[in-house]
Amino acid sequence: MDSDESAAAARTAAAHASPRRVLAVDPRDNVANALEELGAGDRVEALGRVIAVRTPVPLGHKVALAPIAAGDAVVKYGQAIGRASADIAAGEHVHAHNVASLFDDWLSAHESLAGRR
Amino acid sequence: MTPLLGYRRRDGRFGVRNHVLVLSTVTCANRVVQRIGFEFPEVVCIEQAAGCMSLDDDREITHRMLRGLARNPNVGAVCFVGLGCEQTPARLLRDEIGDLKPAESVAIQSCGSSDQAIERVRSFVVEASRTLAAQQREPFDAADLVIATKCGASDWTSALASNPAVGVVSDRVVRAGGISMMGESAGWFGADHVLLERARDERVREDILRVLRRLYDSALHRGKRIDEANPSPGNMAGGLTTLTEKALGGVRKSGESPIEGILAPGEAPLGRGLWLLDNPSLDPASVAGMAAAGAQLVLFTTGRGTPIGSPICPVIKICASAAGSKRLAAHIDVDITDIVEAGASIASGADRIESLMHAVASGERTRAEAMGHREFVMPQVGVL
Repeated sequence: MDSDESAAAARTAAAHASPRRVLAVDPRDNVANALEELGAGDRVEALGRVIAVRTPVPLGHKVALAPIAAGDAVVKYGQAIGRASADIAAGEHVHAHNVASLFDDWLSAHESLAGRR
Repeated sequence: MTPLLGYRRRDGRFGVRNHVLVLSTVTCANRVVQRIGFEFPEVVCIEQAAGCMSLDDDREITHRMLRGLARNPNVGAVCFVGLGCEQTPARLLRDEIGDLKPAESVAIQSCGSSDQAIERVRSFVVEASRTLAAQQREPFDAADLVIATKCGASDWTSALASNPAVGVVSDRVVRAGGISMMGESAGWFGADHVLLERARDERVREDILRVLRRLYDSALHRGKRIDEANPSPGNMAGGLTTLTEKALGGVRKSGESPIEGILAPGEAPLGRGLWLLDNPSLDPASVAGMAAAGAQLVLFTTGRGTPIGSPICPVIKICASAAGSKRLAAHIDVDITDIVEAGASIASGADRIESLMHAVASGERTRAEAMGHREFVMPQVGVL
């Protein structure tokens, strides 16, 4: 076993020994924030779910706790913060590369209400 | 919890500080105000970047702001200093204070020179300082607390820990019968549905929508979109993906209380409970708006850390970011990094914030006060 492999094995063992720390705010959330950097193969626990991390997730960024189909809402704080712009698997990094803003929806949703100036 | 001890004002409100305020009403009077500041470092002196030649909307903001700052319960006595021909005369402002507190106005054009104006301000300041020094703090009830909540130099921990903890404190203040205020209207886009759902009634709901629509249109008139700078590159690097996500994290500092109304810069709440302030996001302009609305103190969350304070209100810095708390440790009043680092509860963070808030309300100095931070920017129509 070369040193890279042994480091990876140690990392896998550590990952199995203790889950990496993430924080989900609301029981409805389908993403959690990484409280430390996550690597592929790490294990995270949130909202009673145990998820294997599939892609690296930087500190403070979001990881998917469940599969999110393209077009579905990305939910944080129990609120839709955007919509998936591609299919997202549980354990994937969730960020601008696979999430679209809802801001245009904001405008159309409020046009009728706010139209009277 | 420390009992609350403040300075009783003639209208029944309580100040948590007992400032003598010397307030310039126009740039032309700044030198006089500056010289008083050099001579009396304990006197709060505020200069103006403008104060004249404003279109009516900005003139109205300036007028209400100057009056509001002077009426703040932390101000025990006030002297307005003007030139004499500006849009909002010092004399008018002095008259609007009535007998609420010792007040004076000085116009340079009526004095003969700026030196003679300084002499008149000096006499007032000496006399007022003597009067205020004799005043004792008295116990006051939590129902008489007036706080404002603010976030600045935020990072991902602001949304997850410090804003929710401040939101819990805000709800406690409201439940006790006090007043809490949240500003930064341009920062609500994307979370406006949360605020609209909490509007006390249909009229408040429409008022909030009108403010948002005006901000949206004013950006559009300049060929801009309100979301083009938001989230910033720094926000994105820190893990914030969308404007909605950023805004939802920001409004959490207002807790979950119903919203009683939305106020223009310099307007004061019309009753108890939670109020929104239609004021800028630029930190010192936002905090200035809170002071003019009558806030006794400001709960200010930060991730990256910021030193700013206020000439009128103690500003309490709250940080849940290990990196931020380390980087600007000297400026952090309440360190709640254990919420993120060690799984401490939001409620335990709220307890610590509330405890320091009571101590500060009763006289303990904040880091910003100890370091002399008194930043001030007048809110203007064009400042987001």
